[in-house]
Amino acid sequence: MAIGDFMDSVDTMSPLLYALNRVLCEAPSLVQEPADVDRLFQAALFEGTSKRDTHRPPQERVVALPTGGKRHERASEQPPTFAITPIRRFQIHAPRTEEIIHGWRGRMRVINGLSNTKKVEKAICEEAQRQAPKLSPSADIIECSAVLLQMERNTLEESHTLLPFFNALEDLKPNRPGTQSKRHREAYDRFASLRIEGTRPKFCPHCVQRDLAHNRPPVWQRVPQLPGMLWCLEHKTALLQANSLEALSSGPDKINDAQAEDRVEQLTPTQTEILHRYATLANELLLQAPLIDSVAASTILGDWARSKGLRICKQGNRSTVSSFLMARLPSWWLRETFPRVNWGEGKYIGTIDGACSPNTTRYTSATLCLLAAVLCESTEDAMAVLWARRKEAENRPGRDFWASRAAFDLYVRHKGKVSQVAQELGLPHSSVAIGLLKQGLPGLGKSAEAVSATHRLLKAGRIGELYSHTSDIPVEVERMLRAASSRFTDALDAIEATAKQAPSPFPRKTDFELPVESTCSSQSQALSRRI
Amino acid sequence: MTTMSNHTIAPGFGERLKEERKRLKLSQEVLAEAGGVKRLAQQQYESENSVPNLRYLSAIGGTGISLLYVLFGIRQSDAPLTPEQIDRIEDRAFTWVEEYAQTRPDGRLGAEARRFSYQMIKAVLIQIESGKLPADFDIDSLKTQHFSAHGNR
Repeated sequence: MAIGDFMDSVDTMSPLLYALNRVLCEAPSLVQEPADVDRLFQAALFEGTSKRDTHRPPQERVVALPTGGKRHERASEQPPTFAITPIRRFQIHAPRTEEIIHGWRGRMRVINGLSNTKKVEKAICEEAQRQAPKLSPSADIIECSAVLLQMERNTLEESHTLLPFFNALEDLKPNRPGTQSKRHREAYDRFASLRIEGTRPKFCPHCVQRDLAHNRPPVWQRVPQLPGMLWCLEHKTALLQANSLEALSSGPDKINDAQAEDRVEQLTPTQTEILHRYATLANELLLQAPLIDSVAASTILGDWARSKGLRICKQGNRSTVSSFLMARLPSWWLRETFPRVNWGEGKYIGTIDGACSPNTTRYTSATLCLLAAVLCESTEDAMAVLWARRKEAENRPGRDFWASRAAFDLYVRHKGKVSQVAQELGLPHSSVAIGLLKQGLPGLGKSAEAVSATHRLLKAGRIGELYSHTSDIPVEVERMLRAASSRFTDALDAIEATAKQAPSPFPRKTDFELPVESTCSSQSQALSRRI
Repeated sequence: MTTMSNHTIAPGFGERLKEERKRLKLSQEVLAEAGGVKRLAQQQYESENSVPNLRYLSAIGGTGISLLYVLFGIRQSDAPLTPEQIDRIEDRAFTWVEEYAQTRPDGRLGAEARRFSYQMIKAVLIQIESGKLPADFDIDSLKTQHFSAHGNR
């Protein structure tokens, strides 16, 4: 051990340095009671002293010579054998329960005296590589932290990141069809674990006080970092906000400029109740890490919305779910919690209203919690929405259904209005429209006159009679006929495409030789001579 | 003085010494003078061609060089400590130095060894203390600090 050599050169101090080295290595794993550390130091000092005595090189010895004289023999220099426990260069403390990994990383920075987050991440990765040489050099910070903490990556993510909340919804569709590239997925996986909403980390002052009172380091907890959290669920008090994410690199007790959210006090009792319900749902999602059937949840949310007389499809005159939300919750909270949503008054918002359409699978956990909290009357009902499972194959009618008499009767009963059919079937508007159209049943929700004109035309009426009323009729009729003939149009397109691709049975010969110009000219000259 | 031909000094020791010197923005001449050696000796320490003695280490410890980092490769924690914590650490450091002195054959430590021991032990105790919570932290100060500007809730 090289450091042993160094200590040997300052021989008088070697037991002390050995003891301090052991204290540094082993103290973090102790409870860190002063008496324990003192005992550890005494034991290590005793061990270091006895080792040094054991390995002390023999001193000079005096050898009597046959001639009667004496010779002083110096013992040959032995290689140093002072055994030292390997030094742990980077001190690791286990994360506290519910501590978010950003805060743990900051704590490691403080304990190891590093200046910024990049340095602590680099140190974590280097230490992980040292402890696990087989670890991939490209391993991310979560992987390296898991190695150092001797736990599985999944366990670390479930216990100390917000991933269980953000990944709660299963069967989500990607924004773009097709499989995303490997590089894209790797980049997402690398950053997803460290995802945190907003730029102002929050903490509960009472939790900090409690930790301090129990002689524990105050830590940044996960739950307050969930989007839209305003209160500590344990103490029912308003959370304090730090000014930037940099605050996570030191403990919450070190924040001097934390601010309380003054707007919380202006909330009405109804708003407070809804937002408390939202917070409870988000907390449950994070702690229980369930896999939510997004299709089933959206179907149930759609039912709740319809029961309140709200519109969940794009077409219609009734109030939308998003308008319902905006009427009940403060706009500042909606805008800050869902910053990517354009909260416009009285319009259909796809990312919010669309989540209530049956079988929708493209929304977020936060949206789901919000809708469940607003549309359901109690937390228990909202929980039932989140934990609902899909009824297999019941809501997924295929071609047989659309070609059946039942679908035809439904179409007739609702006078061809697709939105009403979709509502009765509990299916998305688009699915119903396509299913009916494939059977030659276009939506008839537009113009009653156009429908009537089309009907007359199909019943062998004269085209000239159709044009006698208004100029819009022919356009409407043409549109409707084209829509209803979509399958026929597709067939004609396919026939035409096949005909273009297939080789002609009578290929044209393009490489024939043209008659030589000189020959033609000589023939014409001969002809003219004859004339 | 031990040379490279006889022993190998701690790997990275010279590099860390140089790093600490640069952190404090000291030249080799200045640090050598503070340590009571010539510039060439300083250069040899940094290139790990020779090993410094106790007097040198003890002296540069007084200039702000982190001996904990130079010797053990552990960065000194920058967590602020309360005056009470520092008092407690210093008390324990004196006790540990005495315990160490008693393990000596004659039960005594020279002035340089005592100073060096004290510096090292204090640095280690600060490191351990900063990894845990201050037992006597003024809880009310945080409460006052947070609530004075924003009103009591």
